[in-house]
Amino acid sequence: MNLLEIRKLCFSYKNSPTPLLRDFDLTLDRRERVCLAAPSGRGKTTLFRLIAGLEKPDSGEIRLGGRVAYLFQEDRLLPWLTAEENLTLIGASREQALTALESVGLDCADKLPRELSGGMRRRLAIARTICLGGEILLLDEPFSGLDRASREKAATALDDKFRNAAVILITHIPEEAGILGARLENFDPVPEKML
Amino acid sequence: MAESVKRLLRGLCVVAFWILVWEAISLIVGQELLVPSPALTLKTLIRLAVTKKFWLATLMTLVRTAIGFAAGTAIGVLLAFLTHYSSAADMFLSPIMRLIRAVPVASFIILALVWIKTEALPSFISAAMAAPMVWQSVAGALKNDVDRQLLEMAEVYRLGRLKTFVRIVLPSVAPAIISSAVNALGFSWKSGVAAEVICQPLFSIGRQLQTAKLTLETAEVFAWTATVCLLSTALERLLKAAVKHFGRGRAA
Repeated sequence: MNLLEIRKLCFSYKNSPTPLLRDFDLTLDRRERVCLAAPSGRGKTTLFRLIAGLEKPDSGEIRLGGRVAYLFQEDRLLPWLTAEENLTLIGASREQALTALESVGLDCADKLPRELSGGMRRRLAIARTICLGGEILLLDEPFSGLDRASREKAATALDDKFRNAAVILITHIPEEAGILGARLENFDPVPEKML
Repeated sequence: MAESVKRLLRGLCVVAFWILVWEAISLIVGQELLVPSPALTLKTLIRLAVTKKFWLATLMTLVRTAIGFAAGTAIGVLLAFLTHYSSAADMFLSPIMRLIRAVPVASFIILALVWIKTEALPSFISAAMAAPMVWQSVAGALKNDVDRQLLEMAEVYRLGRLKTFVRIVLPSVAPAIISSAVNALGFSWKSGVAAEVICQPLFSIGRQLQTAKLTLETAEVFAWTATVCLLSTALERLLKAAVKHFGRGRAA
């Protein structure tokens, strides 16, 4: 069985006259990596939310062959917990947390998120995804706000942890697909002929 | 000059100004029985402060109000969670809480006097006044201050209900719990003393106030009122200091 199978997925938001996804299909197996390319507002993040179970499809099927690790577009860190506590919160041991922080080039275990720069907070969110682990990795604009060196370090850390996972990437920077070795795919959730 | 010293001097100037106004009114009226002077009030307060009766009344009033305030705050917080998570509880309890808020304190005291023992009434009134204030604030915070994105993160990362509640929901509404408790404290304290004035438990500031009024000891009424005001300010500052101390560095 594939790690991720999406069949004839349809979805539209309430009060929206047009569907965001219609009869959308996607299949990913172990070690497969795709980068979904499409203009903003075409439903890429919604697709992630459907896969993660945060939205219910109108019809169609999503079959998961493993655990989902979702790196949100926003950092979604708990502001009252330190960097280390943000990682141990999801079940990582102290050692795992420190290793994950180190893997993304962070040395700020006892700092609160508000004491970190935007780029550091993004790397902390990446470290949390690394601690979470899983077989299906969803990356929504994973490297936004990171400089080239930090981006490459974070990509290597993700690559190491999710070597065997099925990975879907959303990014506006095609170069990032290259860093993670993902193939570019045109994301067309509602084919023009159907509109 | 440091800003804190400037602020203190400004505050002292304001207090001095209003004491002068008080003194002027007392001089114009010319009868200590109607408006005692600040000096007579202070003298009376010092005379009272060396008596056992004063400290016993103050202590018992403090205890009664503290019990009522603590119970009211706890009930307010619990009901806020209950009405937030259960639509049935919201439907039945929210109107009652709004009603309690709307009923005048005096009506509440007189009604409660019929049902509750004299000794327990001030605590009951303090609780009844604090609970709706805390409830309203915390219920609002549960609706507006808990970050939906963090709740989604908790769901996707499988934190579980207990962990989500303890690590996300509670810290999100903690500022509302604290600020509403600080606001409710003064109100709770004043309502408790008002209840004592009407039901007159043996050792209480309220009873002393009522006795002073009946014996036309207006200076004593002023002295006891000053005691209530000073204690209200002191309690509020104490609570704020405690909150600041225990919440250091963790605010979002």
